[in-house]
Amino acid sequence: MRRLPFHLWITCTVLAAIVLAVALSPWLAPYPPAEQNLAIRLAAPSGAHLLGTDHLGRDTFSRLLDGGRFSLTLAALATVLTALAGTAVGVLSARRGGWLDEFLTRTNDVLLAMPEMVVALFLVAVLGTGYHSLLLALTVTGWTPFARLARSLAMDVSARGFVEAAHVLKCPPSFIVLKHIIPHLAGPLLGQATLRFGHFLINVGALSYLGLGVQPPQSDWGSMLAAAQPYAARAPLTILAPGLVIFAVALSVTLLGQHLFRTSRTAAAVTPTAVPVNA
Amino acid sequence: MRYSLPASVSAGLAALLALTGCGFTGSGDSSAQSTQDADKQQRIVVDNFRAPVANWALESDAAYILSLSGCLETLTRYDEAEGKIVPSLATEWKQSSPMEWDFTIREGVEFQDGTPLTADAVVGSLQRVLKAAVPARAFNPKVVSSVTALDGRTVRVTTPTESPLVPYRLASVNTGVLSPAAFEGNNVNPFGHCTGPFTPVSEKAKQSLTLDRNANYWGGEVQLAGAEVRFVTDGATRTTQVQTGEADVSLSIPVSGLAALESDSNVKVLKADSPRTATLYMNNGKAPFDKVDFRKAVTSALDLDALAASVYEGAAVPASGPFAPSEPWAGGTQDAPAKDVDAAKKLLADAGYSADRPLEIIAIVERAEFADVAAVIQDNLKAVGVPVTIQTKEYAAVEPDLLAGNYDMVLSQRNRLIDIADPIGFLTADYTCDGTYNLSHFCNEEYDAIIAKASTTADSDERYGLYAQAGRILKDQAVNVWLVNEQAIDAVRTNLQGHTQDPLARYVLRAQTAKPAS
Repeated sequence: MRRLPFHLWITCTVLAAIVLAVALSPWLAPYPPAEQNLAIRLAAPSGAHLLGTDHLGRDTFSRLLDGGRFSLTLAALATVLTALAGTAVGVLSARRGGWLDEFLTRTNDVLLAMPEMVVALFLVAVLGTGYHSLLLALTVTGWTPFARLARSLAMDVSARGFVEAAHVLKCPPSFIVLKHIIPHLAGPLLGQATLRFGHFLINVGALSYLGLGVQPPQSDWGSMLAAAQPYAARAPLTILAPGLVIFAVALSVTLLGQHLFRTSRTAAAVTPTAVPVNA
Repeated sequence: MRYSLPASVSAGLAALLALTGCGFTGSGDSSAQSTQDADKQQRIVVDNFRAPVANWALESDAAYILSLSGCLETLTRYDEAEGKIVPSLATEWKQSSPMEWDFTIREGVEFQDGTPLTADAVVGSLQRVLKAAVPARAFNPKVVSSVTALDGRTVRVTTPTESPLVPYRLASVNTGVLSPAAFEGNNVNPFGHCTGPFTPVSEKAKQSLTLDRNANYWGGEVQLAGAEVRFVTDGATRTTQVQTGEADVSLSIPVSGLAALESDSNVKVLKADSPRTATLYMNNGKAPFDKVDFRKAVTSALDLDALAASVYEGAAVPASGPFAPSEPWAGGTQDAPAKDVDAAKKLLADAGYSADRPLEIIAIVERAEFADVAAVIQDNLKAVGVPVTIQTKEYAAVEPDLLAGNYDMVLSQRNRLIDIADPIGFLTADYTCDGTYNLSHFCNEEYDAIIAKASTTADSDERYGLYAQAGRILKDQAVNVWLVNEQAIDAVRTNLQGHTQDPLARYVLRAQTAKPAS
């Protein structure tokens, strides 16, 4: 295994710490995230409240942990769904070719030309706020980069000798796709997925910031930012804490994604005609 | 009824009110802050919170901007201190028959273009508003049949039914009077065509309106050389500009900016009761809200003091009922309902309430603070055993459900005086059995009879007494929970003189507004 650069060690550590803390939030959070104490609103950090309290006297640290569950889960779900959908469309397009390829590619071009956030805003406005609407809005607009990448990679792999050989041996198309093509797409698509995860995290934050995310009193990082804005001068941590966490997670996954992407590209360049063991 | 006041007495009274600072119900007279002589070469900057959007059409909200800018004037105006209608461009009026009102136009008034104010000019201006494609709520064909000139100085307003409120309607800024030349093109052109103390001279679209002194103003000498009204929609910017001295007056200061301004010795923060009450509407037509005891339990469960102090940060006061205490129809000062968890639990038991389903509060997103208000209410109701969920939605998306009765609770806020300076429209639309905006789906024959009587009662004191009776019924029946009375918050530089706060931001630049040499 190649040695991981030092900055990526830090990146992975930060990311793992945040994800672990969020995953364990029911046990780590010192207070119920919606519990109010109006007598101590906008309190400064203290032993009782590590990051202080928000404008309704709720513990900022507890809300940060709880809110992360929504933000991270939604970004992860959106990444998985768009990766699956985009890969399926891309591979189908590359393998079938002809009018179907033309149709899917042009559809992809049209969707790529549309501002992602505007389409998401429109869909959330039509479907209403909430978890499912937000997920659908992100997925409808988010699969296109995966489809584009998967199509180009699948066309490249399809032209290689082992795929030709599989055709000669009368292997069924599903076998060729699942055993010969998809494994070659996995590395670059994983890199793309990590890059897109950071992108989705920021989009979830932006849509929540605009009030289109979770419903009160539930928290998520974007809505915490929005709610804290009027009190930024008096209680800076209420806005700094969610802002920094979004920044840290987005930066970490982006760096990780770039590394994975580079690594997979390099591997592909080194072994251009590699034949899978089972070919 | 006959109301008569000579022009000189009227102008003198207006000046006296300004000098003694009794022109409104808040603490906002800034005239005592500076005793230096006014410099008549001074110009000031006013930051307004909205921009004109309809090419100065008088039936639109643009009329508010022309009015606060000291350009547009109406036949009558509502005096908050007096709690009644006072003369402006009309010196007297009388109800000549049940459906006819005659207004006598003030003599010696000229439009800023030099043409005289006549009955014909007033009729032309009012008919333009009456015939607008989207007429003003205060002055439209449903409430006014026609406007005609009886002679050179008398305007007759005819109504479809008997109405004591015509003088109130003619105090609406939408009934401001412009000279005939203002209506020569396709658009309304107020430049040089008003009667007020300031005349608009230039405009930067959606940015600002510049005005100069009207040297021939009928109401006395104008103390400022001119002013610039800026349209600054961002509250934080308005706050900063008055703090730095870039603006002399900033209207509608956001709560988040209050602390900084209140600690600044160069700025005076003005607060006045506004006719807006944030309200938790309950669907009286749907279980469990169809039981008075349940509605009273909800009222008892809520901590309005904590709500006003936290979400509103002291910029609103706990509400005691459907009216603000300072309104002449409030029926005297009353305490806001106190939180009483034990009483709430007992009332819930009396109502036979079982928490078989969570109730839903809709918080409309147009008012950002309502999400927090809903969270506080949710917490309060949870403490008495009433589970609640919250949905934030756009108002337009939920209005059909609200009117159809398909909801539990909704947070909303209504301006009681949005049409005219009288709550009859609000009390009729919102709470009568056939009310067009009866979100509560409340129906009470006694209440309807009182409102019907009030709508034909000319004497304002008697009518206000009837409103107070109606308000008591709403409160006794716990129709809604009136949460907090919001306040109009403006800020002015302390060296500004003769400024009087108007909670509805209709009158800002006046003849007596002045500033000493810097």
